[in-house]
Amino acid sequence: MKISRNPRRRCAGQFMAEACIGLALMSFVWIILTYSLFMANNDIRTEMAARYAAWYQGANGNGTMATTNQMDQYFFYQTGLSTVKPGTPEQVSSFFPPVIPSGLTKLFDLSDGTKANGPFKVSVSFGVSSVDSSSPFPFDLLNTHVPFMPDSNITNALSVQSSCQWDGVADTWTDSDTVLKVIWNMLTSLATPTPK
Amino acid sequence: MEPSKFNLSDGFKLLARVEALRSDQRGSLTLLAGMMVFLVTIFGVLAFDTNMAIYNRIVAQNAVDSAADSAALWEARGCNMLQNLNNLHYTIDLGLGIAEDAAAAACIVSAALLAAELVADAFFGAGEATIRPARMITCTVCDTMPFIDLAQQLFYAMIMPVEQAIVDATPYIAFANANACARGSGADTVGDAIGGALSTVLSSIGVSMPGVSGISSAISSVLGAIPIYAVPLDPNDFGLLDPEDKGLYVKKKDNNGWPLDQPEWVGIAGDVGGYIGCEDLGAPPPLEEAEEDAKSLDWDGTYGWDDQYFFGWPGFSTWIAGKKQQDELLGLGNLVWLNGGMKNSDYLQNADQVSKTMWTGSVTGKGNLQIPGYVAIASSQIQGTPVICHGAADAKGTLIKVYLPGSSPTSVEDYFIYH
Repeated sequence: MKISRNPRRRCAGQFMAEACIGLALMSFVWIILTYSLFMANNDIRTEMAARYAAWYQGANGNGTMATTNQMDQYFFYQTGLSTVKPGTPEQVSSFFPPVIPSGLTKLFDLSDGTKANGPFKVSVSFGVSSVDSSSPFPFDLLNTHVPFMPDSNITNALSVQSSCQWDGVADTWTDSDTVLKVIWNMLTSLATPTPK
Repeated sequence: MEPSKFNLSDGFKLLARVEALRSDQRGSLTLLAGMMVFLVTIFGVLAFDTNMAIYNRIVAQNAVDSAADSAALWEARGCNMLQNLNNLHYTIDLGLGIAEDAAAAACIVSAALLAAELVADAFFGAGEATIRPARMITCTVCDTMPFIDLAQQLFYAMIMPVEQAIVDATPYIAFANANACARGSGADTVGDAIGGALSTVLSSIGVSMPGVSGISSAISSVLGAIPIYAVPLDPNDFGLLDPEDKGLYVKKKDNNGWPLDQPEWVGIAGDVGGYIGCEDLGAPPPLEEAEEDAKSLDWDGTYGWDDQYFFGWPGFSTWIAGKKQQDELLGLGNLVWLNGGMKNSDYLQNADQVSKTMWTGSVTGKGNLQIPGYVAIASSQIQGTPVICHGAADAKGTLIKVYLPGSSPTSVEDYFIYH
């Protein structure tokens, strides 16, 4: 059998095939970028929310944390996707030893021993921890199963998180009992030898 | 000479194939889609970089606000501690002043009772039986006078160093805790955040320091090695570098008025009365004996006091903290051709040539396209009653509109610097 090359090859279907490939590629890139920018935008919102949550805990006088309802109401467009968690605040003694003799760092971590003293570190996150059928949009897109491909569950891009630290600004040590307690705490902490 | 194999027929065939290739549109949509994907990706990366810049700017502002608020809080705590100790000082002075006045009065009454006792003895022969018991009571009270004065003297010697220590230490404690808050809120060290742009930052806030630009990178490298995340723009004014002169702006001051100032004549009058009225009694012991006992416990031997109290009020403080410059996403900023190459001498040389050669150097290098660093500014001060001899301990810190320090501070509504 002789295979002859047609000098005028037909273009029928070529445009359609290229459109399928090109538009699918563009759609894929578009979806990825849209999702990524959605998360980046919410990352900014978590930073603002973390500031509010840390300030709220420092300013309300009894160390109570902000609620997720407040976060949803003030900072995010979608509800039920934010979390508020306490973190370990930075203490002076944890990062100043190069400048201050270790025995004196206790002096800089003065406290009246109450819950309101501060400082408070709060982390606010937005997103989901895992994707399932009940996940809201756009996280449910990650449930998409492409034939012959593994699950498209991107585990490290499901949530964004920011944290902020604020001092206990409502606890200003106004009463004399607190002042005596602080002085007592300071004297006892300075008298207690630092464990080696 | 070998004849050429090229003939006219081959030329027409080649032209025909070129023409066919030119008119063939197959694959053009794929090419277009590829270009669109590239463009969308570039714009996406730029959008990411913008997001990161905005994020860093918010982190810098949050960190400096947290630091400034923390500094004001610790200043307020220091002022409230001083006010409470001032109030305690005042209450002790008041109580001991009343007690010393009462003891002095008892001494004088003792002298009067002695006179009455002598008169009663002379006329009725019953002075010792009727009046002496009362005189023994007043003399007992009179004997407490030197010990009351001693107690006031010891209390004063104890409380003043404590208050002075609070005045001296508060700016440092406030500075350290402000730094803890800035670090906990995500700020980079001040040296890293300012980087080589120290002179730019200083000129942006109206501080002129000739020669800084030449050594700014050296200063930055030194500062970057120290874990300082927020600094007051005027450390001296905040009491960090010159605590003897400034401190917490709360100073010891002389005062007038009772009970801050217990006049010496009260004790002298009591002394005279006690010496006259109680000298002849064996029990309680004579006032002179009580005074000797008090002196053995470090009484200075003079009655009355004129105490100093701590008075004052810290002013505002303005803080800076920031985020350092970052390479933008995917490192595209390192590509030389994205960095305004006409500023580069190599490009300028090429631009002057008629025949431009293709760039043969490395296509990567530290470029100018980066996510900018941010330095944010915040001011704070404390509100409430100033520290006085006796008053409300109601100081609290608050963030205020930004004030740039100087002999005549200027305010700005919104302030941030990027570089």
